[in-house]
Amino acid sequence: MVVRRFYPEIRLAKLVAAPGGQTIAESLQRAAAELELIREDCLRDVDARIARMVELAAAPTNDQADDELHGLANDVLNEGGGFGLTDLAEVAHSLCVFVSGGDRSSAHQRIVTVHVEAMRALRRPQVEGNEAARAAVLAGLRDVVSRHVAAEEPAKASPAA
Amino acid sequence: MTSPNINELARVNLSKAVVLVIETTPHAAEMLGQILKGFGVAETHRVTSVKDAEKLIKTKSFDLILVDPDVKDGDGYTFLRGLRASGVEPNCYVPIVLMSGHARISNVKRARDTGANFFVSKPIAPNVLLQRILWIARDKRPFVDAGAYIGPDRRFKYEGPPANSDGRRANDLKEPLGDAGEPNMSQIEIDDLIKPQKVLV
Repeated sequence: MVVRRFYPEIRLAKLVAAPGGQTIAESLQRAAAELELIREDCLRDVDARIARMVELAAAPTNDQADDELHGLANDVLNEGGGFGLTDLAEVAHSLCVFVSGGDRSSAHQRIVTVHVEAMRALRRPQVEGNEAARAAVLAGLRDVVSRHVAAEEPAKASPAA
Repeated sequence: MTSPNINELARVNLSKAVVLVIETTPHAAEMLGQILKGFGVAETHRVTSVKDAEKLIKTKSFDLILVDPDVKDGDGYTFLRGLRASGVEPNCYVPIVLMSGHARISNVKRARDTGANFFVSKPIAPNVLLQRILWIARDKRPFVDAGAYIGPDRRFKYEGPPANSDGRRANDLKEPLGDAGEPNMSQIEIDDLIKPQKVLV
């Protein structure tokens, strides 16, 4: 097998260095301002995705539903996190990790529901604007997940038991 | 907020760049579109399907592609590998930033093999995206065509062959170098070697 190494012309390199343009500080300020223009619309979309997750969490679990949950949670992670909703993004990431782990224990539906309810709570105005309330929601979620993980550990260590 | 490694007063010109955004949802695509608009990018094409991306790739030349491979209607990983292998210039060499939120473990290796220039975790922050674009624009890595993999060299630096092995490259040194035979040169002696001198005939 012959491995070919070469240097193709990359136009981006020339464009970026061309005279004109704007400073990096200006670029970042303008990007933040442009992003702010679509904030409300994007957060409405986040709420719609959470509402769909509520429906999925209420139904019996299967691989297809888990795939959809993973996709929706990833969208919430991206869109919510992109607008600085870091707690919401953390919950969404935690749900992605959980559903991609292939958990089929009896607690599956409960864990998914706790995540989805945590997201719903974090979107309520009285919680979103209250740091202590957000911290309490996250602490509650972490507690449920860690207890579930601890309960699953012995079962994984001795599958024959 | 910017990184301490980024010079906020440095200028960047993206006014003639043509960018393709391939995202999982219209809102995610719009978010990237707005960020790019702020960066001064004049022409951004946004799609949310591999099918639409394939159509565009055939008709336009791009300077940068930002892609979430979990695009809804298909397989973004296969699309990217196909693009690199297509041989259709200049798009087959275009810088690609692969963006992903939480990737399933089965997709991590596939992501590595797509031939993307850089990977960025979602959510995307404007300062991180701009840093990656600038990094890619200054990247000096060669392109590698090894059949199974086509894309920028995945090794960011060469640190010699692994310990206790002879290496596989023709220019890998087979013997240890040993100690220097003479004392190190001073900086003045080095400067004198490279300083232009008048030649007297």
